[in-house]
Amino acid sequence: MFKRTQNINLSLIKGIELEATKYCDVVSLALGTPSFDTPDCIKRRVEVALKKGLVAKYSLSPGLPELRELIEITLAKENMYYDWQKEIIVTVGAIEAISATLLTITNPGDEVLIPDPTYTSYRDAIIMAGCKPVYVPSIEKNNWSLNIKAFSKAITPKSKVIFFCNPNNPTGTLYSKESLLGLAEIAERNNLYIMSDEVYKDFILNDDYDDKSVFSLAENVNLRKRVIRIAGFSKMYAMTGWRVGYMHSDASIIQEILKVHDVLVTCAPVVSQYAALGGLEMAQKDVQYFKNEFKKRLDLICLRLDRLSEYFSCDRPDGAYFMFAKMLKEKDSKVFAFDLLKKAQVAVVPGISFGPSGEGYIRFNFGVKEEFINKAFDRIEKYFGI
Amino acid sequence: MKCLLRPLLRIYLKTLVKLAIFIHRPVVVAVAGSMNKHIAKEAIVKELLYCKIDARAGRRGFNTDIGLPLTVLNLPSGFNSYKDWRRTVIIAPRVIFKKMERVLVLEFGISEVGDSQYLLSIVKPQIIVITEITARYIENFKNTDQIIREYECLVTNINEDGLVVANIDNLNIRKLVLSVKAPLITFGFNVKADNVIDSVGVRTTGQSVIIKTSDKSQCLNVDRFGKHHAYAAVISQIVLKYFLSNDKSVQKKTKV
Repeated sequence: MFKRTQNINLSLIKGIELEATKYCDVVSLALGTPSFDTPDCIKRRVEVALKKGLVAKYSLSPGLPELRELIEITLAKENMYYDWQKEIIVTVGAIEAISATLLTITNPGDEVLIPDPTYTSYRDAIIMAGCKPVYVPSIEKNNWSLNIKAFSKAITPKSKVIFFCNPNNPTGTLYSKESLLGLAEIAERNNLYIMSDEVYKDFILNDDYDDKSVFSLAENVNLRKRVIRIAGFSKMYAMTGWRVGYMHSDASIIQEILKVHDVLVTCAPVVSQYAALGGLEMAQKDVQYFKNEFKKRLDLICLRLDRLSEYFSCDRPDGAYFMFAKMLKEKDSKVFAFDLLKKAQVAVVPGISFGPSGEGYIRFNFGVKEEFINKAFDRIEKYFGI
Repeated sequence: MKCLLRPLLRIYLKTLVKLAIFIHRPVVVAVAGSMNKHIAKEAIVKELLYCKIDARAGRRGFNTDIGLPLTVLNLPSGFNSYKDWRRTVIIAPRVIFKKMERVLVLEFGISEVGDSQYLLSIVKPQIIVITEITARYIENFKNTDQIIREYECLVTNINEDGLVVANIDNLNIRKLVLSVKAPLITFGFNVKADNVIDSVGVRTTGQSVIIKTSDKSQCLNVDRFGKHHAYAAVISQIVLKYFLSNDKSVQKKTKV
């Protein structure tokens, strides 16, 4: 009916969630939402803004100056130096940043290289921009690390962007500095842009890594005109419903993306921008609490999956709050996910929705409360007749 | 409960700060303005420390009434936790006897009528830097002139041997400087400034800022991007120069 939407699919994650609404007692480990409520300090910050009548009007298109200034200060602590006045845009979540960036830096027909498996909505955002997603299989046996050689081989004259999520959704893999620099070298050699989506960077759950282990290509000043970094507040401060995120890059790129951002949304919701401001100012303890809770939940889901070792095998993720488990007895992840939903009322995401390499896998979100993890796995055990 | 505790806490912290300042007598540099205070403050401290002048930057202030005392005493905020506030309140009296840095560089946040008066009642700065005056917080004022008057209160209350450092690229600050009676040094891209930012060259690793004064031209390399960092670099040079030529204890230490 409409040419532009012909090849865009409602993601399987949302499809599963929609299907789940047909059942009355579903336990969902599908949607990537943390269980926590937005911290009180953020709510109070918003209350003050509401009382003062600050949220009823548009903000400047790139966002509230005070928020962008604070983002610059926060980034500088992580060795990323960007000018808040010209190089930072506050967006409607990370997904708007992704769409606005793709619409700006690509031309219809360009190819965008993405690791396989990766976040399901990338494919559709790329297609919406009139481009072609090119899946580059990651190295499964090495906890889904980036396959630099495969990226190099996948380059064609139409290649325009390398786009990845770090830590990756759904695998939870934290890409090494070495592999990221490998990608950067390919990008330099072939004059490509790099889009780095880092919305889960605050949730590194592997104790072998500290904060310094998280490397971003946006730290490299020589790559400023090539790297567009996307970050968010949704996951960090349990603010998925507020829809606010941000992006940064060199002014020459950001000023062009700003035009598209303005056309798409005018500005991010001002009330949410004040919430983000509150988060950056006051919610660091809450982030630490969330991280500790995710670690506990990771231990729990590992324990529960160990009891199902006949049916699933998996590696502990480095970060994010997803467990990407290989099915040992089933092959079709979509068939399994819908069957599990129908028979056990447990919603999970089929691995195929994250790319061809994800087939045979299932993604479990362990960002939900422990009682729901237990309830879901009790039902899964029953489903398998244990 | 909270309504009662906050004024009590304010009085308690204010008293301790006044006592600490009486004991240690630090030189206070206040950085005020609608934006870029933090970046200017960090640049000043970096430059002073580089020249071995014992200085500390106050943490980024979240509110005027409690934020400034906490930052002078170098104490953490309890935010919304009574437990954390209790800890802060208990350790505060001990902190005032600890060694304090020679120079404190503090952000003066002005968001409401009366903020300047209140801040000045806690600490009296030797140097006041005004970065920008915009319509930010206009909702708390009648109009822009009232915002300027609030800053006027700051700059007119400075000692004769103090210094006002002002960005005259900003129209509101240009109005403000007319009321300054203390020594004044202006900066900006405006050719009428005492310290003119002649050019800003963007490099891969940062910016080169050329500053011209009546007697010399200086090139500063800044490893950050944006006009506000060029401003911060100039501000830090002006403040440093003031300390090197006016503050006797600093002269002794640096043997200038």
